[in-house]
Amino acid sequence: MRHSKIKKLVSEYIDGELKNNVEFIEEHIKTCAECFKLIKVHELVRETLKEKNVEVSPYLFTRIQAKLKERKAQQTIWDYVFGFSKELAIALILIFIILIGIELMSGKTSIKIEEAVLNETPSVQKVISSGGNLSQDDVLELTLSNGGKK
Amino acid sequence: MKEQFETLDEAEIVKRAKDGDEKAFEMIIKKYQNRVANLIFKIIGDSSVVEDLTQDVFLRVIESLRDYKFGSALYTWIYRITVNICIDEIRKRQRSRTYSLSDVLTQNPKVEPAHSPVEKTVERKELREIIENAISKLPLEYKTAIILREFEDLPYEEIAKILKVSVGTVKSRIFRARKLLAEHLKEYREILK
Repeated sequence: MRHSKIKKLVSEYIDGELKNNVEFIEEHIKTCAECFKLIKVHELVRETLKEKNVEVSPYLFTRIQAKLKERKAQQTIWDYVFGFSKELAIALILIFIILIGIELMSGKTSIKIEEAVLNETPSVQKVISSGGNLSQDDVLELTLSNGGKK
Repeated sequence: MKEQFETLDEAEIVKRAKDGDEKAFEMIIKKYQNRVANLIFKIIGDSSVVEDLTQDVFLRVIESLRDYKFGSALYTWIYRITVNICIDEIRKRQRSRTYSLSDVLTQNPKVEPAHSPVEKTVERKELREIIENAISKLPLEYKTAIILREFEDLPYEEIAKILKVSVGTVKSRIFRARKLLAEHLKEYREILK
């Protein structure tokens, strides 16, 4: 077995994760200075890491609670803003659709005063009293009456 | 109320926390806060940020608790969040730091440490600093693996779950970390005797 492979097994042996070749590795460590160093490194690192520890403040949970409340409050403001915007947008879209609908409907049922004049209708009074808009029926009536007068 | 919680097993506490029970959150935080804080301290190596990062870990735990599946142990899941937050912090620091050439050379694990012709003698009180310094110079992925093994005593399988890598990768990272540490400590021959 190559030494690089043995060194990897030594590392697994140190961690108690080696399933096979345990005796072989134990024998090897006794005579190999390089592999022994890995064990020494393991002991030193372990010792050092466990030596100095920190403790968090007893108020950590209180701080987390406060932070959560703060985030929740911010979220509520945004929810309100976004919620309101959504409703406003829907209302504006509806108003726009209604206006377009009205425009389309009125275009079908009435014609403008200029068109009435261009159609050579002589009853200006009728046009004025209609407020500038004439229904198709009005135009038809005026045209017929005009034609009759001729 | 507290006594009632103390009799509950962890799965039940997590279930209650998932339902938004604040007392259950408190139990989870109090159980793991110091373990999380120490893991952060060992990985980052700076005690001044430990409290804030521990807070960030638990905020993320609470906010993503609904995604927690009972398939893995709670600590594995919390540790995974902790390691990710540490990685984010280290990357943030690396981005904001302007490296000088000497910094780069000393931080690069592939660069052999300068060997003093005279064997250095080490006082016991210095030993910890030398080891800590050697650990801090390890690449992040090796450092995390070796800390989870040596400090947390976690088996390879758990480390693999936390780091989301294969057991083979964990074995390899731990071995390489030890090899690099041995190289860094070469100049202090008496330490490795």
